[in-house]
Amino acid sequence: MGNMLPRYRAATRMGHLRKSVALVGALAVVGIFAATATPATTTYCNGCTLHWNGTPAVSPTTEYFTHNAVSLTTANNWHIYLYNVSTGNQTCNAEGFNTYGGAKTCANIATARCHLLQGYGVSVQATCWANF
Amino acid sequence: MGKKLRIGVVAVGCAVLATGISAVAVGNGGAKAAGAPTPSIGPVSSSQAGRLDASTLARIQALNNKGVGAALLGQRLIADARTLPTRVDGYQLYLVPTETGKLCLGLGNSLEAWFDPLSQTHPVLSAAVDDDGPGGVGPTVYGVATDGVGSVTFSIDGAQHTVPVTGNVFVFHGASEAIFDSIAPVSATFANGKVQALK
Repeated sequence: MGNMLPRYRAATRMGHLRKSVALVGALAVVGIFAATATPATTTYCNGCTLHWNGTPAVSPTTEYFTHNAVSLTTANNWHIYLYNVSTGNQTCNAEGFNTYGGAKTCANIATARCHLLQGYGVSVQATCWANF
Repeated sequence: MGKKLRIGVVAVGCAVLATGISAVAVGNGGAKAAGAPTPSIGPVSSSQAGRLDASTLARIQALNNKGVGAALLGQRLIADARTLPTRVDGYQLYLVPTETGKLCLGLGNSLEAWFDPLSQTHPVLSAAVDDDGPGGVGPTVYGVATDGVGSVTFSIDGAQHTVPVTGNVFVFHGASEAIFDSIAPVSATFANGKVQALK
C-alpha cells in the first residue's frame, strides 16, 4: 500500500498533463479558426442613389462594425460614419472631398451610414458597405 | 499515446508559430530609393518612395487582398507608393497609384480616400476624420497639395480657415464642437498668387 500512493499520484499527474496538453491543442485550433475567420459584410447601399440633401443610406442592423466604406461613380464630397440609434452617438466619422470613395477602419456598436455632404446639387450612384 | 499526443501538439504549436512569423515577415517588397514623384501621382516633390511603416504597409496589403474598392481601383500599386514627410495625428500619410489610374491618399491604417491623380488643375487631395464624433477631440482636416501650392482654405461652421502647406502637406485641427458635416474645401492659393477654387 505504501508504494501504491506515489504510483497513483504519478498516474494522476500524467492524466492531468495529457488533459492540459489536449486542452492547449484544442485552444490552438480554435485560435487558428478565430484568427482566420472572414468577417461578415453588409452592403447597405448597393448601387443606390445618394442625394445631395444629405439623407444617409443606413445599414439594416446594429452591429459591432470594424470597417465602413463608400464608392461613388463620380467624384463628390461624402461622409461615412457609425451612428448609435439608442444613444445618438456618432463616431468613426470620415469625409472625402472631390473623391470617388474611401474606406475607414474604426470600431463601434452602431449602424453604419453613408451620405453626400449637402449643398452640391447633384445625386450620385453609390455603393456603401461595412464589415462586422 | 501520451508521447504521440505531445508530439502532435508540439507540431501544431510550431505550425502556428511559423504562420505568425511568416505573417509578420511580409516585407516592404516595393521599397525604392527616394526620387522624383511619378506621373501617376503628380508633382509632390516632398514625397519619398519605399518608406511605408509596417502597419501602413499591412493596411494597404489588406485592402488589396480584401478587394476593397477593387471595382473602381483595381489593385493598389504598392511598389509605387510614396510617403509624405509629415505625420498627421501620429499616422503616416501615403499616396499609392492604382491599376485604373486613380490615386489613394491614406492616413496610416485609419482612412484611405480615392482620387484622380494630382495635377495643376487638380492640385489638392483632402479628407477629414473625427473618430469620437461631436465633442471630445475635434475633427482633423488634412491633405496633400502639389508643388507650388502655399496654402489651402477650408470652411468649417461657416468660418474660413487658411492653412499653410508645408512639405506638400496641410493639417487643420477643428474645435471640439465643430460640426463635421460643415467642413468644405474652398480654395488653394499658389505661391505665385493664383487662387484656384476647390470642389
